Amino acid sequence: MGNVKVSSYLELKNINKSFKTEKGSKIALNNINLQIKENEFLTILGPSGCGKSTLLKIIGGFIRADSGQLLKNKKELKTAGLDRIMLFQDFEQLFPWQKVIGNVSFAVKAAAKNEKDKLTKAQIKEKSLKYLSEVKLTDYQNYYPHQLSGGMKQRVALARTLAAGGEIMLMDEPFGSVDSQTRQELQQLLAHLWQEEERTIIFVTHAIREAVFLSERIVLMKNEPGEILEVVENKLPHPRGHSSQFNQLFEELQARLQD
Amino acid sequence: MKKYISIIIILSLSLFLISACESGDQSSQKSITVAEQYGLAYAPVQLIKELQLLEELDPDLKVKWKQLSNTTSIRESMLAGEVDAAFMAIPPFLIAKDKGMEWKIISGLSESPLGLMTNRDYINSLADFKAEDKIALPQPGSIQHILLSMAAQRNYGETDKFDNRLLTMNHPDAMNALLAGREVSAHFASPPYLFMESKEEGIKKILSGSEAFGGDFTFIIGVSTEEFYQQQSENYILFYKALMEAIKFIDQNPVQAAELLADNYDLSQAEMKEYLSWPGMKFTSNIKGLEKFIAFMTAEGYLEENDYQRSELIFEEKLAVEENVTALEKGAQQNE
Amino acid sequence: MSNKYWQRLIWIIVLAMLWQLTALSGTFSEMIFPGLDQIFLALIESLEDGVLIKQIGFSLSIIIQGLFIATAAALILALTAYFSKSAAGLIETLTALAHPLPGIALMPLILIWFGSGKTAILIVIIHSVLWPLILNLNTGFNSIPDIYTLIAKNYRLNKLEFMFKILIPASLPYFISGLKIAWARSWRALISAEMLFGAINSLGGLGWYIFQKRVFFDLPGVFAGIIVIIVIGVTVEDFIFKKLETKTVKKWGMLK
Repeated sequence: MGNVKVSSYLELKNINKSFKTEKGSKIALNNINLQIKENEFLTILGPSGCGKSTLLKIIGGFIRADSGQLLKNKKELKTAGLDRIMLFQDFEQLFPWQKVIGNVSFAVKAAAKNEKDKLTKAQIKEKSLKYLSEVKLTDYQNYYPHQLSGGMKQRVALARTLAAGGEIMLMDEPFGSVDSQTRQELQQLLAHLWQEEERTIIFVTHAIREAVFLSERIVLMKNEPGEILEVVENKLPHPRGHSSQFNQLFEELQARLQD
Repeated sequence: MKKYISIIIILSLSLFLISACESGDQSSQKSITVAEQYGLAYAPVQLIKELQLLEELDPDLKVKWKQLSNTTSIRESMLAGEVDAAFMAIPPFLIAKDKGMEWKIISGLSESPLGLMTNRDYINSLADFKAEDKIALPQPGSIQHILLSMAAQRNYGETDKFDNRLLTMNHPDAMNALLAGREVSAHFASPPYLFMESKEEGIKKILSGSEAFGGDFTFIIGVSTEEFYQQQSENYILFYKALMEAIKFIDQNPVQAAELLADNYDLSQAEMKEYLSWPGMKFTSNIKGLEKFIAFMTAEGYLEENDYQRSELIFEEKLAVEENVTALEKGAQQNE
Repeated sequence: MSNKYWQRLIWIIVLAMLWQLTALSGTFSEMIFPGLDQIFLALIESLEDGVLIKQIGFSLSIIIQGLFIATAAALILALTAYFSKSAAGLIETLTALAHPLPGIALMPLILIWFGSGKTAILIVIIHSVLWPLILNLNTGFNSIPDIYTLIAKNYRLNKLEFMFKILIPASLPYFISGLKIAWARSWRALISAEMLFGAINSLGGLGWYIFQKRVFFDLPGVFAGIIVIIVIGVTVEDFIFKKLETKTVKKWGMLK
């Protein structure tokens, strides 16, 4: 269980974003206010079109909000950076011309450079292997991405995201493209990893079950326009399974979202 | 497997069809195709065209003229059966004959001044050429190349002394390059380019054709294929007659010929008259220098065979005329 | 894969037999349609006296130089166009204007400006290589998945790192197919240029060799030269490029 600190860590203040469409202007995010605690596992849950991906991208610094502020430790964040590493849903996020281990060491090197750390080749390899072993893919280090299954690719991507060493990890429906069994395995892996490491994870999904399984707090969103409905606490103990409390929370959330 | 067999059959069929088409065209038609080239030395041929001498001899004869830019294309055209009569210098004729081309000389056409013209101050003779000086001429194996080689042999004992410095260029481009003064240091020119260049400041002649050859020689001859001669002998004779007429005309009426042809050559009548009567320009059916060319080219490896009989090289009509002339001369000698 | 090569070999033998039969049948004169025996004799003669080898060496060395220079230039130009919108406008316009021009059409100009030496031939080769390469590199660079740009931003890669770690490897399939086109065009242009430009110090390349054979009426020699051109072309395309692809884009599963 990670240490959850109470002081203001990551803050979104009055975030607004609209997009121009053929029919005029569409409000993607309307007056979003959110406080994120350090080392917590937060899920943003909502139907498609509610702006959750957009919100995540704004946090990551890939998109600029029209108005409002993004603050970390009270300082405004203006660009993307290694402190907020994104794990995408796309299988193509891995570099096909690099072996598995190469993909992970890409992140190791980037992190080292960011911290002005000089690492030898051996040290880089060691670190990369460590992260690979956490996702249980050591045996596949010399494979090329195209030789891996979808689930394995996402595990490599997860290893890479970890290896980048960012204090915040952003995840944009990373398990949406795999089959349900693999999905469950990946969820278990992620839950386990989060408990081992001290990272803040902001996880976007539309799958209620996934949110209940993984997160401590769930931000419910609605669409048209994208707004936060409410934030729900999830105090279920780990490891989480199909207990009656689990199902209860699931049904509650489902009901809230259907309004 | 069936697919493969049918493809092979189709391929073979198409090959035979192509050859059948070819032979179809060559049935005895009343037509003759003559190749024409730009150059003052070919003037009588232009007269045949201008005065319609062939049509006068036989109104039924279809005369086609084919404009070709160099001797190599003419050679290939004749090989393909597209051209029946053409005109060129002696060396290219010999080279192809040596390699098996079945053609012979119809008659001589013209003797002409030729010259190696240079734009460089420091070049006054062959000895002054430096390694980077380039000489422009129509192609390797052309009469210009052979003449240059003859001069090199005579002066230095090295026939291919200048072979590394040759630039293949047709006469108009060569003249432009020579006058531009950069890339080309010398141009082995023929009329009218020779005349135009000699009028330019800074251009001088350092070697003449006759110096290189060591005497007089026929510049342009008329040639035709054995096939045309044998399978269309009537048309051949018509052409021969027209050619003789044209040569006689231009030899005896240079002024009138100049007036008729000036437009065709894009020259003023005054220029045309001047060029046609330039010293060394001579239109005659005599063939001079043939043996000397053969001897030189065989010795230097351009030709493999070296014992050509005149009858192998020249069509009978011309031979017959020559024999008549010789007989007349002998007769005249006897009468003295 | 070896099946395809066997097939090819069989077809070549079939065509060769057809050729020889046609030559022997006497349908065409021996001058226009020399038999394979004559052609191979001419080929062996030229190989033996070293002339052909020297000319081949000359041609190959020039084309390699040209390819090298042009590839470097294409990379620089395409990268510049990728990072700078205004430069992109200029470079794309230049490419659009120059690409349709066959090198042969430019030769009179090149002759006047650069003379007829090695420089002129290099220019012709560079012209044949540069534009298709720039086009392909351009397309390649602009076709990389958007996600790579996000990753580059996320990991704070500077322009150089982005270029070498992501942009260039990601567009390698386009680069290779551009290179194939460039090779084909430049090989053709080289032979044509050599035919036109004549000898430079007794070395003129394969095109010059064929031209010599032509003016000296040695048709078997011309065919021998043609065979060499074909053999070299096929070797480069089927062996060198294939090997390159196998070691890179095929291995990475990136074949288009």
